[in-house]
Amino acid sequence: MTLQTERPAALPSPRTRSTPRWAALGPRNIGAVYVLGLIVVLFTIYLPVTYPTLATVKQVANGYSITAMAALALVVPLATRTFDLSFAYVMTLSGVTAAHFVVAGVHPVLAMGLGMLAALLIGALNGLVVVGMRIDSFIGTLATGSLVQASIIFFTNDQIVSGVELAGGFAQLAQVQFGGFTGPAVYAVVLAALLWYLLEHTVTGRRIYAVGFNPDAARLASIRVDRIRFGALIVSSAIAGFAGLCLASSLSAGSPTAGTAYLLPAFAAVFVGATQLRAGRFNAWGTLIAVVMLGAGTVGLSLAAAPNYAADMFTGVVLIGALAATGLQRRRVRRG
Amino acid sequence: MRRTTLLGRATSAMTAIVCVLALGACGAGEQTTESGPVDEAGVQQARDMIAEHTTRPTELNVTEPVGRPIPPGKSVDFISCAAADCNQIAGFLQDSVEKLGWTLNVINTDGSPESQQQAFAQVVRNKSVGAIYIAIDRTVYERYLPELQANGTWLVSACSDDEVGDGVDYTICTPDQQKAAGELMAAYLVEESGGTANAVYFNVPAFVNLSKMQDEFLATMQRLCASCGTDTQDIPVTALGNAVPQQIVGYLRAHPEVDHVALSIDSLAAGLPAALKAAGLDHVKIVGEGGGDTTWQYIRTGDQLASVPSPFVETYLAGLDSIVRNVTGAPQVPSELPRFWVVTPDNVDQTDPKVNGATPVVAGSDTMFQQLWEGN
Repeated sequence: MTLQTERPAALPSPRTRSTPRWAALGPRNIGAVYVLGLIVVLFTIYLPVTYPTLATVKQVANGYSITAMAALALVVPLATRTFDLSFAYVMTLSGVTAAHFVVAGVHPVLAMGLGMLAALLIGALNGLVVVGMRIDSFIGTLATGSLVQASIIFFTNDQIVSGVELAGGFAQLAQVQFGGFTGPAVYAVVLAALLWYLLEHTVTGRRIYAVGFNPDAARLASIRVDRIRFGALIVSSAIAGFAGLCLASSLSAGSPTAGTAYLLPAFAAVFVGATQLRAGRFNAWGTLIAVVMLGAGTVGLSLAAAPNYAADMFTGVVLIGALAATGLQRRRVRRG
Repeated sequence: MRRTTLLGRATSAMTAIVCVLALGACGAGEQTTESGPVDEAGVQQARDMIAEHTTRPTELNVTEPVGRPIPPGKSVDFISCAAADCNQIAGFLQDSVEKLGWTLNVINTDGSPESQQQAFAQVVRNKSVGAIYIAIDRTVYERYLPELQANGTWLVSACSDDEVGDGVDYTICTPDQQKAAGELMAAYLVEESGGTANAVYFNVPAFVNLSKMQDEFLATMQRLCASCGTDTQDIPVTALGNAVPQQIVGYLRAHPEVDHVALSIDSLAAGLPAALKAAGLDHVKIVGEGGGDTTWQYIRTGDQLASVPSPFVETYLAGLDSIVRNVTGAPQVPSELPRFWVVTPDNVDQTDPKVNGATPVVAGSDTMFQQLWEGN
């Protein structure tokens, strides 16, 4: 059996099981879109002047684009059943590194390249720890994340890297606009498209899912499981590094704790995303739908001047619901 | 199975959305706006206040020399926090303690009550002559107070709502001392807008030392510009990091008449200018309290209007000064902060040089404190 031509036995295709084509539009497949629709309808009724506007669309797209990129960074490693808890620290690292060099007078493009290089090095370190040393990815990447954070504090003395130089060309990366949408909103969509193509339309993508569903079966099918997992961690760090650059550019500063705030929202989005479109699989468009759903609710709450605990409550309830659905879907897939 | 899945999803979604809308309904704020003629007298008063406070103060909050010999070889504990500012504080405290011929023990915490209790347990073991801590709730360390008193450790509480007594020997950066910053933020908005500002104040209730600043801001707006619109919004401490700009943008979109934002801490502005630009709200002007390099950068680039810097250096060196006075037997001086200073684009260049990364409100305040301890 060659995986280049055949789907692995461990991967029953959702398409083959869902007979009618319209089932793809059913709530089981795109439940978050229905929830999103419900959110939009209710907030439109509640806030008829401020919510149903193009400005809200732009606010959701612009305000949650870095969260989207952070979540997209997790899609590939999670698809191989590998956690990468270091991605948030990698975001911080790339941003601080680039900001440091921009303030030091280095050309912004070169500084961003150095920030990406730092991120890729951490990706390689993650690969060494998780794949080379066979340390559980949850613990291993938590450990490397801690090391990255310690290094950031060591080099910055826990101080924010700032300077008027950051308001120049470097700021354009995140603050450039395309028809009212900021750069990161566009980058997130492009990244999602690239990941979708990789995962759904290439042999590598099928191998990635095969490793995630059953690594032993994948190994027996001659898939280089270690190489796939190593590569997944590199991809994760690369995307996280780029998200970190956008974050620093948006802040016009290199904050030594900037990325940490994205740890939980990104995992929330990617797990909700796994319940969408490709039942039980981590996928790019599902992740974007999840980010938009969470963003639409949070923006509605801020427009409604909801009390300060409402956003966390909203996120928590939606997350529990979506994860419960993921569990049910996975059990159904296993039962065939 | 399918029915269970759909039912579960629908229940989750409905619960979330109904909860959220109910919360939104009960939390919606109301803006105070009284249309009327501009209060020219109020604007003039605001102008006078700002003219005075954009001039950097030169007088220290402590002026009385210790006047007694300082015994060498003592040690002082500093219970640090997880924020970047605490590293700066530890740095300039270290410099000053070394000038005294003493040792500074920096005890790091991560902000959790457990780590703070461990820090106080360490202070008990160190038996230092004094300890300085930042914004730690009294219930966390209450049980260590008898031992600290028995050890003769002079306890300095900075930026909390603790009061002197029952084991706490000196307090500084209290809510009452901080509230003048709120008055200046309001005065600046009135002066800058010519008495037409429509402002919202964003507060972080978790920072109790700033609790009275909001009241002072609102009272001053009412006093100097009764026709100006004012509102307040709370930011949860858990939102600090990435959620604040969108929360502020959401509020401003829902209240398009608001044209000025006042921030109880300047770090709320991180990423806010970019978010405002993306939302087409870059006409909204920002003032804040706290200061720091990012704030000075925002003021230089026109992203922020002004800031009232926190007198970090003077606060903590006054705390150290009280320990020195206790050790030497010199009379204590009343706790107070230096006069507040408003940093604007016109004077932002004065924020250099710094003391271990922090901008002193009184230029050279670290040297001035050290002079108070010399010459005996």
